[in-house]
Amino acid sequence: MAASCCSTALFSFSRPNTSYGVVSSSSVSLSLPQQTHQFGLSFRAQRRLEARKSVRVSCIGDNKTAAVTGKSWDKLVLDSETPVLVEFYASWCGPCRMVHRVIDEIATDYSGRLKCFVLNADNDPRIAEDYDIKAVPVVMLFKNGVKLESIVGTMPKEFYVAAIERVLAS
Amino acid sequence: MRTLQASTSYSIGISSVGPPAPPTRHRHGIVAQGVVEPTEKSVEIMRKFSEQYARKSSTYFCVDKGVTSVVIKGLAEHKDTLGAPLCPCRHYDDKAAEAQQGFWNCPCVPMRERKECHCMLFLTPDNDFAGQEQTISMEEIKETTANM
Repeated sequence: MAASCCSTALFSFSRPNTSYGVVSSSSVSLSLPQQTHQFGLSFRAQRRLEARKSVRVSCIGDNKTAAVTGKSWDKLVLDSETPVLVEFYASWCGPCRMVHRVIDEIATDYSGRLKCFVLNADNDPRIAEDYDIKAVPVVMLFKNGVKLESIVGTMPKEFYVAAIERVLAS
Repeated sequence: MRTLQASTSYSIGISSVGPPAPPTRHRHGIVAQGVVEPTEKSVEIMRKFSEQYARKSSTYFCVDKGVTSVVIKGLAEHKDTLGAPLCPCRHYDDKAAEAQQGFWNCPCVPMRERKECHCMLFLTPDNDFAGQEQTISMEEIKETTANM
């Protein structure tokens, strides 16, 4: 359901938080400015229109992706034979809900190849602190128990897809 | 990043509006999974503050007012529990200490210095998600957060 009601919702190329939202050396958020230039103005204007149209159809709170907790972390994330995506969020984080919708779509798109989970950092501070979560949302990608990618902030769907493809190809 | 604070005045923070309320709930130990609703009074205070600060900073609310509503409620919830509108789009080791310190109390230092709000409450007009409004009603907040 979420996949059909919220497609192409995220195109925030002028996102404001790259300067302080980095969590680790493997974070890819810093590469966004180059991508912005690469797309150019007309692309951007078009995307902006699409973003405006699609975000009107809101399904906030309608989260489909399964939750992972501190208790199930090792089993579901670290010991998984399939690559894993985890979105860290906070209870009252507005943009996290936009990213939820994208992750819901991705979970469907990559069914069988990638397991997707969300983790409420407020409820699981130990895991959040282990992974040095500061600004949320943060999307992390794990393969064979190792964190390979970390994306901070609200990104276009393509941005997450590119990171997933890198992890699957590695 | 913490070195930024030396250059910053905190006098315009919303936390100066009234005396901080004492924390009313324990945030550590066993935490309920459910989301606790903020008081209507605090939501109204943060709603008004958001409208005023958007005008003052020439920024706009998100085209998806659901994002705006959730953040306003998050600020209100922190105001209820911590006595200050700590940014709801971050994770803190110690919320009470952060609220006391003030760096991430709304409007946070990055917002005041560089108009950077990663919570997407205050968006500059060039942001793809910026709408054209600087107002949000209590009804809109209730409506867009009704199914949470």
